[in-house]
Amino acid sequence: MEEQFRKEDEILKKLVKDSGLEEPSPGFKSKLMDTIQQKADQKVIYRPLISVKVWIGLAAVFIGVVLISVLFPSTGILPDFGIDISQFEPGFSIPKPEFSKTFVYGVIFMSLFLFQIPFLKKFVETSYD
Amino acid sequence: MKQHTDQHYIQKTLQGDTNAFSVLIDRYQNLVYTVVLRVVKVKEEAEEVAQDTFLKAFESLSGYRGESKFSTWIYSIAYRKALDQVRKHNRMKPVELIEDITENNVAAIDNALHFLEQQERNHTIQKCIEQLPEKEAAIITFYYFDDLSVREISTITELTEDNIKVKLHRSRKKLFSLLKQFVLPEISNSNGRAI
Repeated sequence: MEEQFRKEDEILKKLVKDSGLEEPSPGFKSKLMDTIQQKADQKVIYRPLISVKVWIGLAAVFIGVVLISVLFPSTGILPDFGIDISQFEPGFSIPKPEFSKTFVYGVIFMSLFLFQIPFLKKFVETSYD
Repeated sequence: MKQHTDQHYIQKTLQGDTNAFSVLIDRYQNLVYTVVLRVVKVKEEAEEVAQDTFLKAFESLSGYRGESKFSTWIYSIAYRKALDQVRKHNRMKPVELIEDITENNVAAIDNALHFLEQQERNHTIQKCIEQLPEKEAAIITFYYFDDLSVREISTITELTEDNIKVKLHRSRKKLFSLLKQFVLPEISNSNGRAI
């Protein structure tokens, strides 16, 4: 049995090797390369709308504003440079919003829920792959 | 002339040198086309599927991580696309023809094949492979022509190694039954009795 199996294997290997490969039509490669060239030309290189430099600048400005508002909560730093800001003060007081605890909890849970969606989506996608 | 590795041309293609991909086409077009043709069994469709295979490979080249050989990767694309094509046209049909082949039959088939002209012999084996079911025809080509291991074929086809071994065994038997019909018709037609 083993001998027959070995013999069959040997014969088939020789036959399949000798029979060679099929060849596609002569225009196969040039047609394919034309299509590939077209695809390559159409390829859009992704460039972010806001460059990294601009993002760094924006982050620096944001952090600066936050730091100033924390370190100089009432006056800011402009009076230190001799700039009188009283003329820019509005003639009304800005109302301070007050939220109930229920509303705050609601917002927190809602943001947690929204925060979880991308993770859950990814989890479901991978489980179906 | 120095032969560069597939990885060299893949890198060049990824760097924007589209012509580097043509070397990979030269290297694999015949084998990809042969595997596809043996699965879809229609020349015009096979050519179209082979084109799609290379196009898909070009588009997904950045996703090729080099964990397996490039040939294994491109064969898996070709195999999947060819099966999709067959499914699309609803042509998959099992060929169940397994005659009991004895050791004497094997020797007689081998002997009869020796008397055929090379061209006729090649034509006969191609005809026999053509009659195999789609997956088995591809597996036989990978195993006997390209000397791929069972593990590599398992990666390409996403079938288990045991399943590949079973399919190889069955295809061998089927091929010998078919070869017997081609080269020893008088024995096959009279249920094994020599005339």
